[in-house]
Amino acid sequence: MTFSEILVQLRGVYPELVLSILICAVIGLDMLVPLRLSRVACGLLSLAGTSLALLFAFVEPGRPGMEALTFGAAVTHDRIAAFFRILLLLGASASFLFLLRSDETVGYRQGEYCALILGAVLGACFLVSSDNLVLFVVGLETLSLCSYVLAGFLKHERLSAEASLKYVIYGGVASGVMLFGLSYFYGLTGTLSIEACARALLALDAGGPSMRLAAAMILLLILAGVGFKIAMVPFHFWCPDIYQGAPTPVTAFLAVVSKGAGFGALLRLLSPFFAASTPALTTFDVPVLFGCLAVVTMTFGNLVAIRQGDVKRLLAYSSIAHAGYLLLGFTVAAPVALEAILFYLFVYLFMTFGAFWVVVVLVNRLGSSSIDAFRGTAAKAPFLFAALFVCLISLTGIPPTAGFAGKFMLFKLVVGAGIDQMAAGARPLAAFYFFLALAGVLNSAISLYYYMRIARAMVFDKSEGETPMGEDFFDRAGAAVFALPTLALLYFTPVLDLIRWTAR
Amino acid sequence: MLHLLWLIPSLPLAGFLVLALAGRRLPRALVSIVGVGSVGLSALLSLLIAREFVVRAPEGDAFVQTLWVWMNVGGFAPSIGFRLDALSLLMTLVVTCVGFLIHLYSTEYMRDDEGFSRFFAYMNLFVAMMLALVLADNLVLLYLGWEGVGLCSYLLIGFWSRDPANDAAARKAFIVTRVGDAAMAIGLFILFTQLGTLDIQDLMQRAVREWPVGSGVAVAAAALLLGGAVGKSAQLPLQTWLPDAMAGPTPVSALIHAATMVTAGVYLIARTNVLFTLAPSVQALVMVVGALTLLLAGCSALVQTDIKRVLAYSTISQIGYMFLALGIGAWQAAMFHFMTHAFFKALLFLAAGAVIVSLHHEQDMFKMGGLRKQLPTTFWTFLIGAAALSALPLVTAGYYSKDAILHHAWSLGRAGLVPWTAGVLGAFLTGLYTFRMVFLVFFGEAKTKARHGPGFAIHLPLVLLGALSIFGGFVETPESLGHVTVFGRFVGTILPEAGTAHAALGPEWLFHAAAVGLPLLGIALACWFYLLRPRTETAGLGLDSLRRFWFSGWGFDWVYDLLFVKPFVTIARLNRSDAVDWFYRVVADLSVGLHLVLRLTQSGRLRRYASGIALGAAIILAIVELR
Repeated sequence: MTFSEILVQLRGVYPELVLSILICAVIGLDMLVPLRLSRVACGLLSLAGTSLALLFAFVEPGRPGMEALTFGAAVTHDRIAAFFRILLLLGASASFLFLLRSDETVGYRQGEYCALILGAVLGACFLVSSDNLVLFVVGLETLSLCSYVLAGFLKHERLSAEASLKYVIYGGVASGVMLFGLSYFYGLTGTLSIEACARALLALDAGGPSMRLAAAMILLLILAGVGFKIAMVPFHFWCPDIYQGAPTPVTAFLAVVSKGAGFGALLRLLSPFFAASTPALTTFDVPVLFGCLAVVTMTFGNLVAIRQGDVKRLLAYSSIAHAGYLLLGFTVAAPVALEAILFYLFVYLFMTFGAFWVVVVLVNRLGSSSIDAFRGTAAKAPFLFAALFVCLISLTGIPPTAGFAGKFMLFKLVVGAGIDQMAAGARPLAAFYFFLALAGVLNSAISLYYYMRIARAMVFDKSEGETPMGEDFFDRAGAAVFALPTLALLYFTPVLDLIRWTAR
Repeated sequence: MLHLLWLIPSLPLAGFLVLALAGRRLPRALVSIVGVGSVGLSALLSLLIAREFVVRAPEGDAFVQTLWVWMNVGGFAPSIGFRLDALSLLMTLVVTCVGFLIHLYSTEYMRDDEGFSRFFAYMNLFVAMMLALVLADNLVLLYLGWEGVGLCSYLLIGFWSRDPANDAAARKAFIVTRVGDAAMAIGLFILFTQLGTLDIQDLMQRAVREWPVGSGVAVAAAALLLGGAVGKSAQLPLQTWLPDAMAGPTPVSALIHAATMVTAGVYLIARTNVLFTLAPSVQALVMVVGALTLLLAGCSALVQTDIKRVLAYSTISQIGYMFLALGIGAWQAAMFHFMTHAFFKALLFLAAGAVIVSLHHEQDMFKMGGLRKQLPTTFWTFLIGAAALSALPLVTAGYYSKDAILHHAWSLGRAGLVPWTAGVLGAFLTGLYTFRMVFLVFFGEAKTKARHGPGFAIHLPLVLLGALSIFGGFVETPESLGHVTVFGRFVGTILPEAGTAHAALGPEWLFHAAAVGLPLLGIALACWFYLLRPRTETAGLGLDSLRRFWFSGWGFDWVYDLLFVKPFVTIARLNRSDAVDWFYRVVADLSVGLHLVLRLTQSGRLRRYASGIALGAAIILAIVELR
């Protein structure tokens, strides 16, 4: 590839290009401004730059000739890439809003923080648009490495440092496991193309018992690496400790962007199986496997969440549970399943960020993220409470919020698959699908309990002594930015239009 | 112009939002401007749009505006869309124009109330919801409006919530209509599952295509929709809530419980008339319900002492006429009567409100009297309303609309005998109870002194509604009286015309003699009993127990109390330690138990976490391979 060819090819990755330039720019800027202006200057620059990248991510997929700009089959411009770029960049923009609001990282140079977030998102964007396993791994590792540092950003705080260390080691193990699986894959098939991945797996699958075992191993080991990112049981252990220890803005970033990228990676690998033309794997019952993982994950997340005393830790378990709901979408190999997953992810972004936003403000004022510290704050910050409440019932999946629509789509998908199987005469499988839907509904009911514990503490419990609580314009504006879409996405359908638009 | 349709419901909604969010901080003058102005603009816009609609009728005599698609979930994607056709335009005009007058009236009526801005917030929300109901092009949005007006009705009946009786009345209204609404919701489910759409026009076309006349599904769906209509429109057997609903402020009674919301049931049936034509048995039931209701309510109105309760029973009775008309296929006549009724009943309520407020909130007619001289404008406008209500021939709107219904029944031949008889008997009762009210309140000796004459904001709506109550009827007159058919041609684009193929019940002169004579006879009797020979109620007739029976609304409350309320309360009391709760308590305990076990895995020790990966992977692989 000549230099001029590379220049041409670069036109396919404008959003990533913007992010790369931005990383340099923000570090440079941080050297010029005094420490006290560091947060505002770097935050605003990053926000503006990310918005520009977002604009490119919106505009680019429609341009003619994009399909050819693949860096020699390293990246792709399909609907998953287009959708996830938008999702991840939105998440990154929101993360900078969090940075501008949170007082936790004050006292440190913020250029590093911004650069790390940008780096993570850069890696994530390449991850979700990769068409080559090497780029896939590089993207995943870029995301992970930046996340490790972000988790330990408050290096003088014991919890933060511990979280970072745990995250590195756990993530290292997970990556190792995944690379082990990938090496098997490369050794057996001789290809690194993700597009050919499904075909290769099917070929292995049809190649006798030992090959089938190998295919199962490969899929499983890759799943461990990606499952770590999305905090899927049994690869979730890191999640609560890291969520609790990391600064709250980082926690929000991990809960939304990192997890979203994980789902993007999972879809990237599995999307061929969503096409109607792809036959099912014989040995590896993908729907049943994902169904079981979904139920275990959501049940674990919800059950362990119910008595948590720390809101960040509680939201960590909640995010595990939501990974479980999302995994329900992987049990049905159909395009409509893809729509349900993407829609849920989008809604999840808003409602999770909304909840974290209020937590950030509360932590700013109260200096603690324990539920007990939140007592009686609703009266002093009614707007924030209302926004949090909307996000919490949306996370539970109660109308009139978008979370309801998201869950409804996922559950309806599963029930619909059950009805189809029933009609096809596969009664055990039909029963399995109905069980999945039932498990989802019961889990939602359980989750209501712990979400409402936060609300109850804020409204009904009396605070001991004076709480220095209040809300200013920026607090409210941010809360509105996240809570209003959480309400409105049920009544308007821009996300579905977006999903369909990325599919054209 | 037509594309501004969306503004008609949006303006009152915006008014509601402003008042709900900032109402308490705004001065009263500004609250009035927002509250009345939003509805006034909406009314103005409706008039302009109506002009455009009439001058340049859109293609297919309907204009559809889809704002956006709502909640696109799994094939179920109702749109937020409005449909303007003759029927919805008529309803919109009545709702916004009468609504505007009543809002204007309220600025004076509610002047000293501490909940001034709250009142206007609710009223604006009501208008917005009512407009959503009538303009909706699909049944989901219609249902939203339907429940929205129900909510506003609840909030406004219990507006003065310091008095527990008002709260009870509000609850009663809400719960009783809920019975009907539940039926309606099930009806919607049936329609959606059977026909796969809730878009009204699609639905009607598919129903005609797929269901034969009299098919079971059509009957079930129509009957369930009728259930909703009966609840909302206070017809038998769900009529009991409306008299109690008079606990709300009088403008509320005028707007919600006379002119607009309670006629939503009529609108629903007219809107889905195709469905009812497919289910003749249900349509006959509509007629029977209407006939029974109009007679029962007419009798009850005869013996009430509270002026607002007389009007409430009269409303039930007049909506009975509309149901009767729908039941015999006189769709246009039903809507005509809806329109004139909105005018004169709003007028009567507002005039009654003027009386009540000038007598320091006295509502007992037997403590009133001789107000003719003290409140001249109120008297004359009330008289016009009363004349229209009792269908005084030739000069009142009520005469023409009632005549249209009765004439349709008459021309049906033998099939029309029952509805016609009920109709003219009801007309007799109407004349009697209406003028009983007029004579008790405005004639005789003055028993209390009126505080002061009402002001401009009360008089203007009275005069305008008075004019409408007279001239509003001339848009459709019978053949023998000029044969104006403006109204018929207008709504004829959407509602089928009444067929007159049958042999009439008898000669035309007999019809006119009865239709004119019986109301006059009623008025004459009222004149005899309450003006010329004023005596205490029914004295000497020995009908005291009958009077009490009618007074209580035919004992429906008592029966329902015995049949539903008491058993329910008893069961609830018996099941105080809820058996169903046990199950959930077990679930909760199980959850906590599992929580205690599972949290042990989250020890914080990295070594265990890392081994968790290997163990988990091994377990999954084992499951997959050993399956």
